[in-house]
Amino acid sequence: MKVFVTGIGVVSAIGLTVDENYRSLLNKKSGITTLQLSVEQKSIKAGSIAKSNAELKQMLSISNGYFSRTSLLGIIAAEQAMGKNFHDKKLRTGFISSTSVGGMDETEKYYRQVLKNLPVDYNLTRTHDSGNTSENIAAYLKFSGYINTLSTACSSAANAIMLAARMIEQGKLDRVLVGGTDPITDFTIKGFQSLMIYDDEWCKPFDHNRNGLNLGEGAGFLLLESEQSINISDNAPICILTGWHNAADAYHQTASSPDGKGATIAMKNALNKANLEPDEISYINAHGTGTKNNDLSESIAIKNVFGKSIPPFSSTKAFTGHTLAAAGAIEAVYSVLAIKNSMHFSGLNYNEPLAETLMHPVTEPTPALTKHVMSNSFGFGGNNSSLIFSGI
Amino acid sequence: MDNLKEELKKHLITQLNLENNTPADIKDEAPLFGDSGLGLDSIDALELIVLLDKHYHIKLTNPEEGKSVFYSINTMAEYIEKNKK
Amino acid sequence: MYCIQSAATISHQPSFANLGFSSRLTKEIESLIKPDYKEFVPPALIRRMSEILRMAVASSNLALKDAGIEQPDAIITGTGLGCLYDTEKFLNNAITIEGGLLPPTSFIQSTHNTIAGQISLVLGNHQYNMTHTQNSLSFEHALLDTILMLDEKDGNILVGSADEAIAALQPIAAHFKLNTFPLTSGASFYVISKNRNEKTLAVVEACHTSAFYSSLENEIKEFMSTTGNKQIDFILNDGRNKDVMRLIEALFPNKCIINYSEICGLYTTNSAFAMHLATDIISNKTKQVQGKTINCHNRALILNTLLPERAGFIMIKSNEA
Repeated sequence: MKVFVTGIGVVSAIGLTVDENYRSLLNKKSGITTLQLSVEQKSIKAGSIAKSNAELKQMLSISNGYFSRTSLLGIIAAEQAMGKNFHDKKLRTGFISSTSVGGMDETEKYYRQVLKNLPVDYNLTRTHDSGNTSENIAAYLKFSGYINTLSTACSSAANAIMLAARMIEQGKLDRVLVGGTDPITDFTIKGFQSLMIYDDEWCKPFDHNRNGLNLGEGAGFLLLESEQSINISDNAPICILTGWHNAADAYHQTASSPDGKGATIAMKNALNKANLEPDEISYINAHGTGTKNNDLSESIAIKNVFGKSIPPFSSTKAFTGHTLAAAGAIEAVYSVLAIKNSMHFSGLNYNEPLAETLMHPVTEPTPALTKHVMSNSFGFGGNNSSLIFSGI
Repeated sequence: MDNLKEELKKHLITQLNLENNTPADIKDEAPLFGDSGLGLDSIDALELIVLLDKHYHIKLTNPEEGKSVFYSINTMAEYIEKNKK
Repeated sequence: MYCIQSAATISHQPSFANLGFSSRLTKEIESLIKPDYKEFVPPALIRRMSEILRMAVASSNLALKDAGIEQPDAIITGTGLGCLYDTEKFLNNAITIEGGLLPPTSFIQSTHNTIAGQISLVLGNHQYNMTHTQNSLSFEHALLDTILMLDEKDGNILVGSADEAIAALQPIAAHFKLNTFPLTSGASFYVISKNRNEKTLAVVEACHTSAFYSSLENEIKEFMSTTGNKQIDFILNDGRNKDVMRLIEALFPNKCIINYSEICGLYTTNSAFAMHLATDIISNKTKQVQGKTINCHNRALILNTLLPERAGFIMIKSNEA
């Protein structure tokens, strides 16, 4: 049973729509800027979306209610992906989202009130949990029934897309609106700084002198449908989700294994699922966070899988920042765009290859026949996921 | 120096949640990392960087330097003596 | 036919490594009855682990041991609120420590998938590793994922959930009047496979979730209809809503209805405890629970309505049925 992609939506530091994101990628225009999040913070480089929560609510015609930034961003992307589709009793439609910090942006406000003995607004805690984040997006789009949330750090949305595909393949659902969302929060900025993997400068994925990641925020969503569903919805498929796999690294709580074991397993098995040989992959949208650890581990894994035929690859995280849970979905959308537009997107800030692997990422957006694209998302706790999208 | 080492061991036990160890268990010259030592890992290395900053106001900005500084209680104490403010 | 080969729970009941615990339930929920964690968790790792991680690793360890499995073919977990202790610790540090470095351990352990991640780390397991975080339905979704996986390829799947209570939850629960039962923690893990044998404790026949429905009564009727209108012998419900209890009484007349929150306390994924309780009642043929009599032990329905407009259904039957 084929799994078709019929809708995509994205909001990130490089655009509020799919089109804006695409043009930024083509024009090599990064959305990473210098940010001062709160009084306690020194300034950092991050891919933030220049819209306040109030502005986001206005865009969505939301006049009241407690919404985390996470949900607001998610609604924007999900609504794009849903497009003109409506709920149809003939189609069992599910909703799966993902997030790593849920409504932490609101929870931080509550907790500050508590710690500083200020009057407390308990309603700020209602948006905290991951599930609620998804429910607010689902409710806005009038979904009911199967509503689920996954949370596996940086691989979350890729896993959500995988689960959606499996539900469709197994005939449990006819179509699924699926994706992920995460905001920039003090919590995550300080978290990655405490791990000493936050680059003070603009990140340099796959560069020998890389020094860590820059965070980003955003959301990505896709509408996945079965063939039967397309016959009823009459949607034109953009491409097909043909391969997927998830594997644990089981090496360390945060670092990826030096031999890239989990990543290797994920990519190899995604290829098996898609029934493809490694040399059939046109382009890889790599995880490529810019940390010393990930980029080396991922490079080694790519070498393990592709041997001498390493396809063109790049990380788009120097454009958007690392959007944590949303990354897998935002980058899935970029993978779909690569196929749709026959384009290999470039990375940014690359000068020198890693000494250990001497692999060169794509440095200029390159028009090229793009039949099969692999998208990698490797998370904290060694959770590795790989997706493959294929042209019709 | 001995006082410093004793104090260091206590800080280590607190910072790294070494519930089952007392300062007496930690030998001055024993390697702290790896299977043969206390079994500390890279997360502990980051915690030790915090410890240096919090208690001795020393900022270790390069985690790679940590390998030699944090080798043992002895090396840690020497480093602190040399760099404390 | 998804067979529960083993079940391990840490709760306020003597549920851990205690077959037949359903006949030995205590009335007063005092504190968690914990095993000696050192027996079930590698000592070198325990020091960093918050309660939720200790409970989860210990329970999953026991579940694997009881099922005679060294490496599961997947590790699928559910958690409603995740690793709260570490989340609060890091948040607290982030707000109160100005200018200095922050200790990273609590940040690392604040992510929801730390639970599944730690289990895979301890086992050296490279299989599918997933964390479902759909608040009160997290366990049901993890179970649905398990069923999906077993239909794709048979194997032994480790599935479970855990949630922990921290002091910071209390004022929030009090404000929203959520604390009808004591807020607490718990973890339940199972090994499930399609291999039905004499060791099978019970069989999962169906699992379903539904959110934002307009009528719970219709949801229940539809679930029963799509699963073949089978005879249910006893029902377990979270007990938070008296109207729901009355509805269940009306739809399943003369059946024993067990209020499980009264037994294990309140935490987001306490329906996972309910499945273990039901499994134990069935396999042990326990006759008396919560002062009620259970005469027939063929089939149970766990109906989770912990949050309004969100329902989880788990139907299990006896290995002998």
